[in-house]
Amino acid sequence: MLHQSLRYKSLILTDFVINTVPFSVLVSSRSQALHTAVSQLYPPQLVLAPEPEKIYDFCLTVERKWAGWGRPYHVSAGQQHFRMTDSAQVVPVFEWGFNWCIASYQHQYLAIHAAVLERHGKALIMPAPPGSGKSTLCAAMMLEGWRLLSDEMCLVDLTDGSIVPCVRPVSLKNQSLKLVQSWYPSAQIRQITTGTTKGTVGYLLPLADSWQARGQTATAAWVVFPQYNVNQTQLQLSPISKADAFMHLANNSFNYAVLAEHGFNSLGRLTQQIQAYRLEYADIKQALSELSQLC
Amino acid sequence: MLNQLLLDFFIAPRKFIQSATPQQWTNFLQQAREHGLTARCYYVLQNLSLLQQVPLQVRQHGKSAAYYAEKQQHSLYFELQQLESLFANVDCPCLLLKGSAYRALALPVSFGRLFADIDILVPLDRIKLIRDKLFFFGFAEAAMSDYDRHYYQRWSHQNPPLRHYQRGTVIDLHHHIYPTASAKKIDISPLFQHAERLAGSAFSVPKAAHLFIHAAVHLFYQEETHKLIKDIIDLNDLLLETERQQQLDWLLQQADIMAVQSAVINACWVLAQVFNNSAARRQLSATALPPQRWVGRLVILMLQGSGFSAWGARQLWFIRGHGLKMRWQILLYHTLAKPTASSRGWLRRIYAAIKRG
Repeated sequence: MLHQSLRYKSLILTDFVINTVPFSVLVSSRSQALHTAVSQLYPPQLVLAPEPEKIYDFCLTVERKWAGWGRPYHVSAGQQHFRMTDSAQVVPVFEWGFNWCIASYQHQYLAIHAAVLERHGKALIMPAPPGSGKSTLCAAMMLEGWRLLSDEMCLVDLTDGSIVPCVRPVSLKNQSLKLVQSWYPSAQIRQITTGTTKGTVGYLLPLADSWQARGQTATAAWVVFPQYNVNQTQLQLSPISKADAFMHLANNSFNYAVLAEHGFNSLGRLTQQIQAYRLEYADIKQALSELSQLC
Repeated sequence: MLNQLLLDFFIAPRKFIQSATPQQWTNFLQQAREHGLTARCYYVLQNLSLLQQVPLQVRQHGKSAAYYAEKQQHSLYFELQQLESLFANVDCPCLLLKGSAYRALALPVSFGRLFADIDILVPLDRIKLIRDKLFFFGFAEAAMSDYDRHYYQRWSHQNPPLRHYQRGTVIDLHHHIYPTASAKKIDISPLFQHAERLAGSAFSVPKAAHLFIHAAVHLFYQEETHKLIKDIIDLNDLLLETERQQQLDWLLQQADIMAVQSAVINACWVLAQVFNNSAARRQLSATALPPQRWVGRLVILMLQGSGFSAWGARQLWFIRGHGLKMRWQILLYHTLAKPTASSRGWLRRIYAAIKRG
């Protein structure tokens, strides 16, 4: 029925769902290549045909339409357009589209732009702007045995303050693709796409334990603001005050302002239960070792 | 037909949630998001104590949207507070319209309702003064072509949108509720005459009946349909509010005085058909003026029709709306001059690019 109704709407050839938690997405696409690519990035039990008895959180459409030469694919949520792309960049644009849905429409959790990893039930949150080396450090930590909760979005439950996983493939860019592959030759990096607006983008597959525990929350214990700096001769891990941590977390949040007092209370509780640090590093091994000792 | 689930929900929420299948909920969430109506649905369910009867996932997305709507409402109050000192010193009535008026009055229609801008109505002879004062409060017009500026000044009922340079808030400053290019002359003096001052504020708000009239004029005398479902739901709620405030008879009198009877009667006909709204039925039987059924049917076709019929209705509505809001000679001029002005601008840019090398 679902197939039929969607076909009726836009002559769609392929529908599939990605059953990630806490948010699932129903994808309507005319690109078989997208389905194949997504199947490489997510475990087979998560990429399925739509099931009539399930409610899906978001719907993304990837349609081929004429809109000038060279960018025939339109990624949109219903009539809300996200971005146009050529066929070579459909995969990263689709992944960004999924991020866009979560960042734009979900406010049931406080969402912070951060990588999150867990060990012994305790979560390490690493908020940082793009270019700070957050994803690279996150990828390395996961490959060192930490459980990945997210490389992009720290979701804080507004009622109990727990950290909710949002496990997805880890987006790596430019130099970090080669570096991660050279440090960890067994790391599985897929769908490398050159020439995107963010440069070359590829996806590191989360390890099996991260996928398996994708519904398992963790308790926030540490917040580390990482900054990769090639000129840093000596690694520096300096504690920062809870007040500063609060403000930095708020600045890195997608929806702190939307959640108003709920955001304030949630972030206040989070800040009370963590220790916060600034990490400046040039050598990933030093950073990993320092974090391993700290946490 | 793409809005059918949403419409079914607003027509009979209880019935809808009892029969909705998971795949209908998936589509419902998508449609509600597209039309910015998720929070509104949430409050409808909350008011009817039905929240516990919908699936958790739907409730959570509703709550998410409600947080967003609440934040918008806080932002509206903040903006109005910033503007108080300006409007307190302009010595003329300043009326909030549409979403900001609904919210300032805390009407049920405002619960979960999103808005993109703050609409303010001031007398024509004060609009330039207020626009200039707003500049010193950080609000300025965006860059636009000479033709568009000319269009606003001569034929529109409002100043070009004014955007705050930092906060991004947009104010639509109106001097009328309907374009001056129209052959239809709507008397808006009753809006000012009956407006009520908000306690402790420089702003006033129109009566509920006038809010309904404004919404009906906006939908039935113009061509815009991209927010049709939201507009229809607004009209339904506003008519119920007019009834609650016992202004139904007064509404018809006011429609007559303002010369907007057909918009009001056509709106009532559509509301009676779609929502079986009893107040709308009462209005229809209380007036000698018959509704223009073809107009109402076009709206229903756009709302509920599928494929070609809805598309055809939209095209007819577009032509009808332009015919109403512009005198024919202006419409003819606009139809020819707008593309000419655009192509001249385009050619000028190409020429400049060639000259730059």
